[in-house]
This record gives sequence, C-alpha cells and structure tokens, in this order.
Amino acid sequence: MTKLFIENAAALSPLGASLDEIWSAVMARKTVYGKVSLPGDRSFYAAETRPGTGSDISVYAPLFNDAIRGMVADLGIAEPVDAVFFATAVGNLGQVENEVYAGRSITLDDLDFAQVEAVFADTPAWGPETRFVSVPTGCCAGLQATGLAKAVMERMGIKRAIIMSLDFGLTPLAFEAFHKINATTGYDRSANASPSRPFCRNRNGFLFSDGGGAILVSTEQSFPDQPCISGYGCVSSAYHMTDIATDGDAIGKSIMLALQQSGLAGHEIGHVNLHASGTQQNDEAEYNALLATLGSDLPTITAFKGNHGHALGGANMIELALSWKILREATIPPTPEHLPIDAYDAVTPRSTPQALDRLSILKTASGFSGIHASLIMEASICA
Amino acid sequence: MCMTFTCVLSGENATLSDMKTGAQSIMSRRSFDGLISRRQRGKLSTGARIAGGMYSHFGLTALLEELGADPKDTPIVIYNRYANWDYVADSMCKDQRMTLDGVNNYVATAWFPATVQGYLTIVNGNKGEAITIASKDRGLRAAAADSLFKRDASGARRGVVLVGTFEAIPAKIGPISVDRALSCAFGAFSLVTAESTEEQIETALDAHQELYSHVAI
Repeated sequence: MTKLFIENAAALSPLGASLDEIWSAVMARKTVYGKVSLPGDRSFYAAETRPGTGSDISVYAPLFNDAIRGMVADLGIAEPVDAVFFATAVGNLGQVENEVYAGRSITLDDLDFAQVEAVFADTPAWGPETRFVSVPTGCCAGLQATGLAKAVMERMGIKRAIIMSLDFGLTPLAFEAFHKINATTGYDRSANASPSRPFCRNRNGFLFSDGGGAILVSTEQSFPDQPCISGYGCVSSAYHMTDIATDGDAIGKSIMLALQQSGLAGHEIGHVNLHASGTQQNDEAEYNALLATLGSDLPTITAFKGNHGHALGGANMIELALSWKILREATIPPTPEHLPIDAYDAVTPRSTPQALDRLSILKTASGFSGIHASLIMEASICA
Repeated sequence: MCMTFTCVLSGENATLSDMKTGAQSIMSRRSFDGLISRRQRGKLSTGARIAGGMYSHFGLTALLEELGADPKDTPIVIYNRYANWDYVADSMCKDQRMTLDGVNNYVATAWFPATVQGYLTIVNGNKGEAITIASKDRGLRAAAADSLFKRDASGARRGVVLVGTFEAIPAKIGPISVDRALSCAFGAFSLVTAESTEEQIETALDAHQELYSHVAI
C-alpha cells in the first residue's frame, strides 16, 4: 500500500493563526472558549478563530475562503500540486446563509461542494493539471480525504497533493441545529471553565468551534525518517445517524484495518490522538475501542478538542497537523489546564510535556452518519 | 459489469429506469414515498428518500447477493455535489430569528451531505466503508470507486461497490432564488462489480452525471 510522506503542515484554530501558534498554546495547556449571541435571545458556547465574528454572519461569511488561501500560503507551496483533496462538513454554509439573510441572490456554484476548487484556483497551488475532489462527509471528512488520497494517488500518477479539511460552521443554522439535538454543551453564564471536557467525568457535549488544517504530501520520500501516513481504515457503524454504540466495536474495526495496512501491531503504537468530542458516548466508545485493539496498557493520549473545541470536519486536519508536530518534536503535549481527565483509570492527565518513545501515532475520527476512520502516522519505519 | 438504475421525480410521478434493459416504469409519488417507512420520512431529505425508495424498488439487497456481494458489508460511494437544501428551503427566510425558530430536531442530519450514505448503511445494516464525494473530475470519480473495493491477498478486487447520486435542488431558498436553478430531484444507483473495466465504471458514473442536466436552466 502507498505511503504518503508529509512535507509540511498548516493549521488555524481558535488557539492560533498558524500551526506553530497552536502548538505553543497546546504546550502551554491553554484552552479557549467564548459566547455567541443570536436573535431570539439565543446564547451558545463557541470557540472562534476570529473572536467576535460568530455573532455577525456578514463578518463571518468570508472567513471560509480566506482560510483556504491562508493555509495554502502557510504550506509554502511554490509550484502547483497535482491534486487537492478537500474535506469539510458544512463547506461555505456561512456564505449561503449570509446571502439569504441579506436578501441577495444565490448561484448554483455557491451550493456546489465541487466548486470549492475555484478558491484554490486563485492560489499558487493551482495549475492547469491540478485535480480536485471534495469530501463533504462531516466530522470524519479529513481522515476520509486522507484515506482517499492514500488509495488513489500512486495509481493515478499523482505525486504531490494538498489534503485539507476546513469548517467555518459557526452559523446561526448550525448553532441551532446542533443545540436541538443536544450535541453541544448548553450555555451556562455562571460557568468559569471550558465546556469542552473530553475524557472528564462531567463532559456534556462538544464545544462548537471553527478552523482547519492541511498537509502537503508526496508519494516519494524526501529524507530518512520523514513522517508518513502508513495505514488507514474506515467502516460504517450501521447503528444510528448521530449516536455511537458505546461498545466501540465499529471504531475498533477501523483501528484494526489501519493497523493491518500499516503492518504495525497494537503494542507498537506510541501515541493516540483521539476524536474525543467530549460527548458521553463518543469518549466511552473510543476508550472501549482502544482497550480492545491496543490492550489495557494504553499509550499516552491527546484530545485537542479539550483545548479549542470541535471544528467539525476541520478538526481532523488540525489534529493531524498537531500529530505531525508530535512526531517531529518527539514530544507529547501536556493535557489542558483545569481538565481533570478523570473518566477512566487508564487515561491520565499530564502537567508537563513527555517524550515520545515510539514514533507511531494512531489517529481516530467519527462523524454523523455513523462513519468511523482511523489512520496511522509514523516516522522511523516508513522507508 | 455495471448495472445502473435511475429515478427522476417530476410533478406527481417518479420515473424509474433500468439503464441496462431500457425498462422504464412510472409510479405515483405517493406510491414511491410508500417504499420507505412513514416514521422515517419526516426525518429525511428528498435525496435520502429517493435512495431508500430506489433501493427497495430495484431490490438491491437481492441483486447484491446474486452478484456474490454481502449486502451487510458492501462499500458505498455517493457522488453528490449539493447539500440537502430542500430540507430547509421552506423554513429559511431573511429574518434570522424566524429561521432559527423553524429549525427542527432533524436539520443537523437531514441538511448534511453525508445523510444519504448514513441512511443507506443504517437502514440496510451495511457496515462497509462509505464515502461522499463531490468532484467534476471523471478520472478521480472512477478511481474513488475502484479504491473502495475489498481486495484479496493478491490485491485483486472482490465483491461489489454500490455507487449512488441523489440530489434535490430547490429553485429558491427561503425567498431567495437560486440563480438559473430548476427545482428538481433525481437519483441513480450503479452496482459496480469486481470485473468492471475502468471504461465501464466511467460510463456508469457518466450516467449519474447526466442527471445534473435537470439542475440548471
């Protein structure tokens, strides 16, 4: 199976406008959250990449396209890539909502996920031969786009590609829709700590946020020990559109497929970066999946949504970019300050960074529609 | 070999076609809607309802078994380019507060583009990999279908990949016209077998893309 070698990574999130800024904030154990107010006396928790924009859709709407251009620039691309694999949950929902509320006309292109390629076409990453695909499968989309790239790049002669996932989904419709199904933590004006509490006993839903990440990948290795994506697995749970079976069986199957493809055994995983949305069901399911696939002596775990919330599909590649940093620095960040991480005995808080001994990371993601994907990233044994 | 079935909703009718045999049948929208459970209908976008109705009408579970595939473990690729705007088009308006008052418990899942793949996996107990893809690139679409095949130890394809396209485009979202859009709803399923050539896959997927001629004026 083809391995994808990572040349560079970029991200933006409520913790920072660049991957380095986010990494520094994570290492400093920072968390971020705020409040968005909408008509009808509605208040929601939110973590915003541009603070204060979520309450005004006319200001918020352009951020999606701006972020694409910004991340392409951050990847330092000087010449066109062969392909762009773009992933999202809600795409440019903010732009369309803004047009409706402003009473302006909408075009079919505005609604077309394939048309996001027009934004890339204005960047140095685009050339006459660049191919484009959008994967709008929600909170699993980034990993699915990576899996798709891994499966098709070599056979299509695609040598170098951008894989990006991005969501600026803090829109009125999305806030209300997630609130209606109790996916997000309800706003509490008396609270004095982040409502995003993955792997804490008192977790109660996800903190809605925005942002995204990107990696520049090649099918060819540039230097020894270059981090690469070596395994991928994806299954459907066939269980429920939004609920996750807490036995973790489906997540466990996706992990086993990824391990199988990478050639690694469970005990060879040095670190796990989880989806960890902070809902009761998700974290229980992931914990049980880890026990079933890696054994009871679990490696260290990171759950970055505890730092900056859940950016839907965008979260996947923020977390993948941070996982790349973990491999490059051989350092596991501490857990966010003020989070007790007390839900399970085998998952414990860290007040200081820790060395990464085995350069292999398991990354998981799950999304609405009952989709679960896992991915293996490693550094020392990619050649 | 690829088997392709299509469905176009127009007025009070659903026109269902088997592209291989050329057989065509017309049934009332009421009868077509009756192919999925009444309890599900209000939760689903038009696209998902077309997918469910077609799956039932064309007996895809039996067809998959005849082709040697396991309907409980068959990969699915959905080639959709639009979210399910039909589900929120009537409730949206220029007034944000009124729009939000109209959001029901199913908007989060019904609007969402991966609803169709989720619905098909859940209703049929199918645990295969499923992905939704939007691309104008013919080669990439075909490669994506090829990539989802299960493989034997030698890397040869096994089983069947189920490919679908299900769209419902409103001509208006709230009071706002979608420029040049025609209100339309259509769907297509293709069963792509392991023996299919690249050309056969691309031809089958082209039949899905041709349905987009219904979208614009």
